[in-house]
Amino acid sequence: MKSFILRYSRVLLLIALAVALTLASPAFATRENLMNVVRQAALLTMLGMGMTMVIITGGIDLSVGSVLALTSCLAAGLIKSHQTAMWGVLLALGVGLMCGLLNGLMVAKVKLPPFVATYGLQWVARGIAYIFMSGRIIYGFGRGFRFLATGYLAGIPMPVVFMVAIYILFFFLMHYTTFGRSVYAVGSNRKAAELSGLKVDRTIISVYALNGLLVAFVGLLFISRLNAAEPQIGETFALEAIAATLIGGTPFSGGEGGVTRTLIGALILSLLSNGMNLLGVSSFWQPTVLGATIVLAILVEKLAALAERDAS
Amino acid sequence: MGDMKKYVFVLVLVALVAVLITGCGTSKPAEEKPKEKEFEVVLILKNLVNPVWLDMKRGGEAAAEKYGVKLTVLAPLKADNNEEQIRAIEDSIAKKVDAIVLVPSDSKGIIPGIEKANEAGIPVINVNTKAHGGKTETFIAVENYDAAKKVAEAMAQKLNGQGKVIILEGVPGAQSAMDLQAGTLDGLKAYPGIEVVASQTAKFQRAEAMKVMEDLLQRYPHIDAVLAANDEMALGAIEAIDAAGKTGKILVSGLDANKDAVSAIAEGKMTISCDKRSYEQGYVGVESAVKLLKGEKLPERIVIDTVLVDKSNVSEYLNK
Amino acid sequence: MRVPESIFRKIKRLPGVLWALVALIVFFGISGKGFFTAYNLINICKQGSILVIVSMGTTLAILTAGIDLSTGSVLTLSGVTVGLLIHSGSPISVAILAGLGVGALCGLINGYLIAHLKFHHFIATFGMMGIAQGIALAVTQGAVVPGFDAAFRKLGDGTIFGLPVPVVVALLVVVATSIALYRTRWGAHVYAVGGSEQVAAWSGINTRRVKLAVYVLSGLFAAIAGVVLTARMNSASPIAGAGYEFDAIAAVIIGGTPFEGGRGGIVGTVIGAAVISTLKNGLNIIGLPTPWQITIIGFMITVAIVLDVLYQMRKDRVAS
Repeated sequence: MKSFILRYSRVLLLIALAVALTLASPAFATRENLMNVVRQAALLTMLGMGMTMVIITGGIDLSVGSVLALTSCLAAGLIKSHQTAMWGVLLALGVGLMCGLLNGLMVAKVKLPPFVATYGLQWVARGIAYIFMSGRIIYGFGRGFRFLATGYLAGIPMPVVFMVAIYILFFFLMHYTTFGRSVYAVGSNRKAAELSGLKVDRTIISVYALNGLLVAFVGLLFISRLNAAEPQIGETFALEAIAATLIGGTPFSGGEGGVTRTLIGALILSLLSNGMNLLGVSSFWQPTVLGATIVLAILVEKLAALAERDAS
Repeated sequence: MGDMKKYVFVLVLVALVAVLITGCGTSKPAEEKPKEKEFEVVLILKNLVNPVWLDMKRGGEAAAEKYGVKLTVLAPLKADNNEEQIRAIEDSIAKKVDAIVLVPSDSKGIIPGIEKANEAGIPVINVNTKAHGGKTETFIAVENYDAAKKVAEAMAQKLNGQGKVIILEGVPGAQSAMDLQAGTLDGLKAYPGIEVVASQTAKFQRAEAMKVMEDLLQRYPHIDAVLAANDEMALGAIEAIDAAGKTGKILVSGLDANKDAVSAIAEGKMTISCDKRSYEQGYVGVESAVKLLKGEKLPERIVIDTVLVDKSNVSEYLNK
Repeated sequence: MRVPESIFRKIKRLPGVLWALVALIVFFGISGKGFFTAYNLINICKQGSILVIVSMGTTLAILTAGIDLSTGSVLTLSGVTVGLLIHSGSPISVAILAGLGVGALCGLINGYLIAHLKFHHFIATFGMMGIAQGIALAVTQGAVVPGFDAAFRKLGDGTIFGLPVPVVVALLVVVATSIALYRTRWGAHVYAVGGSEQVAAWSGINTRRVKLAVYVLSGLFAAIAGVVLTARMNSASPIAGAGYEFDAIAAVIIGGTPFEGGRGGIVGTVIGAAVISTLKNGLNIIGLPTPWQITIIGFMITVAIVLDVLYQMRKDRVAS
């Protein structure tokens, strides 16, 4: 029983939260609102997937918010001025990949601590985004591009479709490929991974590059949803993605965890924020609730693990 | 080897700073009047994120060009950060500028900075958000309160004095947000048929407003209007309303008459905005500094009129 | 176990980043009008003193191979506590003690979670970052707590023997930390825990107690910084400390204390903090536009760290 609780503590938390909100607010358990929650969670979940992969290698990426702003600002002009959004999309993905590669090289080759490497890029990318936009806001995209984030596929909002697709992709990548296995191996013991012949540097660089690509993609969805590109977007995204990963239960020490947990973590976060808005809780408390949830989620796990050990 | 590395270190750093700084070209208009002493004025803004402040910057630069003064524009790296604004004042004092044109992030928090400028004998021109202490030469006012009240009354009339409305507030605790909120509420007071069902902050940001509005639309599906305290939030609300398929059924108002809002009004997605004439504020701010430095006396208060923008006069703004 | 090194020997091994500081001062001295004046150098010291105080605690945390992400929020919360208490009529000394107590308490919670419940240091302090920030916003309702009387403001604006009080406080904190770190057994234990917690535990060090004390001190130092900042700004803003945690971490890393812990020290951190403060001040004096400032600061921090890492790598290679 205890090990069941331990194993599914995050799922139970999610269910408890949903039940509590259903009782507290009649507006919560409606089809529209639930769809709204999932749609709001979609972008965060995708960013969380990438962050989870990075954290499993024992790293971190603080630059995601800035890279997202930079890629989407660079792309926005092209998307708006051309008939097809393709060039803008390609540019965004290309720049995202480059930023990720840069992070990866700094971490793997220059051996900078991930925290420092990505912290530097965070400033630089944000600054370039501001300089590039020089006070403009690019507003009003074409129908085709806006479909990416506001359209529906068989009644399901497009962001949710992308979220599911990316989840499946990452799940497969992390659990059924050699790449995924080496990601876990690098994170749990880098020396051992090196000795057993894994290409550690290449794995780390690929992880950051893939994350950069994903961030750029999410950025495109974000500006498609907002129907505007501004250089200050995404300032809190890195911290939110880290929070989703941690609440989901992927530990910072690396080598453990996974994207399914992050999916749950992101849903918990979105439910909390939606619930607070529905109940009219002052937004001042939001950081406190977020911080306390992280600590409590891990506290429960620690206590359950202790109880487990005592029982056996 | 260690020394070698240190020299390389120094050289690289100096070279980088030099390249980056010359590369970006801090814009200063070419001067051709070496006879007169060139005045140096600094314009300190709340941030360079919102288009409003960029308009103000352009206005200030235009005035600087016209009067042939050297203008530096500074803003906090962390938007609206009070400490960084005070640092900017301190740094300008160190530089011995001739005048400071200041848009405080916070009316009370900025006071120590103004006092320092007073001590150093550097005149301070206060623009847009009133400082509640220290000695300022003049206050160039846009009455945020009046502007918000004007918009609220116009919206109430469009609703024929009946309906449920949502208010989107600015950054909690910010002076401008409080004035705007008071103006909005007082504007609606005369219309007992209008009920404010929710009033929530979206921090003056578009993305934040979209999210808040999505949630509020779940809670209050049948509302008649949204009154946002600036255009950025109004535009965010419009996207949320659009996504819910309610465009046209819910009236939306904002303030600032920024470019996107003007096109939204022309497209019929937005109802009313208010031109707070940021460009003029910046222009008059720097112009007043110049007048003061040339020995003119300034009135205690210079009021800049605001203009409502709606479908009837939007065409004037479209081509601006 | 390591023998505590004398401060003198530490100073002889100054980190290469000192040369970066010299380069910056030379560069801004040449290109920035009014940079190299007594007024401005004191100005930089005053502005940088808050960062120095915060980053002392961060250095301790990183020396034990940990981190403290909550310092900025704890700084804010302590400042707000002091401000609210003074306004509710408490004597200044009581208010300050309460503010320091709040900081120490936050640090104690961090330390307990990390040392006793084996929380990852990042998670515990990340959680505290949100908790403290939210409480500060909620108790002030987002508004700045303004205006104190002259006695309290002395802490931010006064002088002792001609030195500004914030600088004196920073000096005291640095001296106290260096005595604790280099002249006591506890200091040696801090290095030992950072070098290898396992080995430290085997050699009989109570690693839990060492870590607990480190985080309590980190919280306390953040609170001291909060009190001084509140006095200097003559107001307590609920977002005053946002970003300080990252600046402090940057100061530590630039100063040559690596994330792995166990080596480095506070002399480097002081220089690292000086580099950041000088850079911010100098860029303002040159009048570089804000977006460029954002870019250059990130770039310079990265370059400084990359050069230091490359230097370390080569030194290790030569040594081996």
